[in-house]
Amino acid sequence: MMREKNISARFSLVAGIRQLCAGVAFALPVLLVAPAFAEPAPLAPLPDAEMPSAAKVKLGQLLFFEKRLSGDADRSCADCHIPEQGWAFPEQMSIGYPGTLHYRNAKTVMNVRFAEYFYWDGRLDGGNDLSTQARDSMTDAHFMSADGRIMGQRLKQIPEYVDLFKKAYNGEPYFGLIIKALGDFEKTLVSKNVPFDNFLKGDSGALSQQAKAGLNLFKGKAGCIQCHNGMMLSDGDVHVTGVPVNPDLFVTERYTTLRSQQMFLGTPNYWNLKQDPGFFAVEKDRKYFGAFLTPSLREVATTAPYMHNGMLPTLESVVDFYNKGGETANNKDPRIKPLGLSKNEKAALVAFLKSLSGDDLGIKSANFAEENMPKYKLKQWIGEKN
Amino acid sequence: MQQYKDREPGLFSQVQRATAALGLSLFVAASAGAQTAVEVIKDGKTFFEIDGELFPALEALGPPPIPRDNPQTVDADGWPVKDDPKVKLGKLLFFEPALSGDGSVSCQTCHVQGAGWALNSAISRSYPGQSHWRNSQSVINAAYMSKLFWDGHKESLETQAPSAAKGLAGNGKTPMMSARLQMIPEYVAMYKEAFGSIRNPTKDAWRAISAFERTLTSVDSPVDQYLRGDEDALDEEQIRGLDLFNGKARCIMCHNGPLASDEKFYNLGVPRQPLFSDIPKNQIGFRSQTYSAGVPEEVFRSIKSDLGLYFKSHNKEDMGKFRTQPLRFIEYTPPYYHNGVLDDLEEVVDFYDQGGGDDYVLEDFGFSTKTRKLKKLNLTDDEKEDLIYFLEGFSGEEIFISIPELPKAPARISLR
Repeated sequence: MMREKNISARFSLVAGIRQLCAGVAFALPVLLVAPAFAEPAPLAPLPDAEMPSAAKVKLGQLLFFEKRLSGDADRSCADCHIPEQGWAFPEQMSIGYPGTLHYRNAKTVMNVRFAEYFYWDGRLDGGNDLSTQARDSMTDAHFMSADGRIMGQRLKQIPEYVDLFKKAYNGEPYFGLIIKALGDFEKTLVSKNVPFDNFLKGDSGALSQQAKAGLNLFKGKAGCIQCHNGMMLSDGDVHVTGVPVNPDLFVTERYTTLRSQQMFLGTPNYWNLKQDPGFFAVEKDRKYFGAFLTPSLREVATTAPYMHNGMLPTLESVVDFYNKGGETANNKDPRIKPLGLSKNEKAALVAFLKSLSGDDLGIKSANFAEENMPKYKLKQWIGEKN
Repeated sequence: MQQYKDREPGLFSQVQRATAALGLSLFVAASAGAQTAVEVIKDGKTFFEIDGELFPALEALGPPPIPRDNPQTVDADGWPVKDDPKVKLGKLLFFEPALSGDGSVSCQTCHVQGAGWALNSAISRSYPGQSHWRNSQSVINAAYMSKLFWDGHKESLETQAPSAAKGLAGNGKTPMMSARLQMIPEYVAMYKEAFGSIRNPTKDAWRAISAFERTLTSVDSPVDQYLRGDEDALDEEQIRGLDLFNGKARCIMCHNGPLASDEKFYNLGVPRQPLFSDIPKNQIGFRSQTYSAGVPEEVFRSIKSDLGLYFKSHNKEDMGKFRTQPLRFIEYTPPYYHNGVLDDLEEVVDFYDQGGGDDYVLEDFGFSTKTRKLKKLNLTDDEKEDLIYFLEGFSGEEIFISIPELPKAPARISLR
């Protein structure tokens, strides 16, 4: 639980027990030395995860590009998670449902099956439940604004889908299976042949000398590993780093979405927010105001711009941001301090970050352009069962 | 006064008829020639008797009822006034596309002045990417209805509006619509005047729109004038039509009282709408709504035509039943019925003359719910013409208002 994590940071015993429970073997020394913060989980390569059947993946992949899964039939998952853009969106903040604009950066869906929490404010549990995230994004007013009951009936009007659902799940299209199929497809979005993973597995030539120097800085002087740790290079926790407010938050369509969503989440004073409240909206505790989930660094080189509001355009600017100790903010994580990195050290860090990207998965948006998608077909009406 | 020739009068009705014959009948006085209607005065009220049952006579409409939880300003005679701040706000909001999911659909998208405050198409519009499944009904005189929508599933204007805006018509979500309205300074000021604040943007929007709709009434048609005592308001043919309406044509059995609707539910055997057999997106729209109604699966699998009241009650006896339509303004609101399957009043009158249509409930589910009120009428061509002419006299002047210029949000918001 995220809340426990933040509390555990102050009580190392709890942290130690928690990590023991999680099966992290070296949590024991943590207990003995009792540091101020939990010892970071060791960096680890991605595991060989079990993949869903080819039929499920084929269906889920088609659905990922299916615009008719949004209310207006004009937005698909892939509109904000673009394969050619690191399965994310290349602008500071993403678009939204027609007539709306979003107020946050779209995160990559690569390796999302290993995420502990979803969304920048961490409002959804991950834990292999990708379907819940798909459901939320499909039904939220500012994403796809779909009525799940209608989506099922739309797909039933497309013989190719009826056939694919039958083959994949032995069922007919309905919302529960739609989000299941999307989740099953997303399980295949796992980085392959990642230099850093190869290095961890023993191929010492997989990283350049510069990247290796960067790794040492990452674990040492730069302190990145304090939050970016474990297999996903994320502690799955929330922190205030002081990323500046994006002035475009106050573009009316974006601010409308902010207010709409914060109203929905029951955020105190949603009326007059001067910045994105982040995890505060979930926990309603002032110390989390402006706290955001530590993003995974896997595939980070392909997912610019950075931070919850896209305020940092490049990896270099991110390193600069942390090198100067972030920006002033209430409740800023005390581990974010000026680092005093040299130019070479900063370049080394960036080189290391670039080693976290795997091979292109070879999925091309153009193959799923509207003209390539299966079409609605007339069904025999009178006398046939619905 | 002649008795209705197809019926065998019972003792009660003979007494009633004798009573009626003693009383002065406006219709008898006004019309000479062949009469079919059987008028009965009971407790000082006028009824028409058909098949031994009494049905309240048509009456002129007074001011619409105003719910106590949504008051609005009325004039000395009780009619809603247009310069009430709530009505002014409601007029803007009636045209306001911010009250939909993608900001492209407003009330007037489907309730168009110039199209009888409805749509001229058989099946109404949905939001982009989706199809509707029912005919759009006129907003005119909706203020008098206590059962809104074809299956009567809403009981006030205040609950009808959000159902449309958030449902198949608008796909709107409350927090988003609320936030949009709050961004527009003119609305903030108008809400302040009408409601004290803009703390409940959508809830108060439905109230304001309802208040505006209560100013959209048609109450001065020739038939209304006639019912108020102006005997010259209808000509001879129309008076013959009225007599048929009250008698031989049996219209009064359902289209009665001040509203010309008993607001009850009947299956008339309205023909199937071929658009559902012919267009894929219409099939989606249709199935989406029947699926969303949460009916048992074996019923959902068999639904090929609209089951109306059943979707509200889930009672099989209600399959295929729809609320009786009021008749004022009817000339301007073709096509007719829940699925818009009849194009004009000639077709409607022919439909009733044949005793309604085949019951699709019987075809799809093996039992009939069609009303027994419908019988072959054996109307002559002249009689049909008189009846249509009378119905046209129910329509009055077409209603137009000025299209308001909508206030806009600034490009960026500035917080205090």
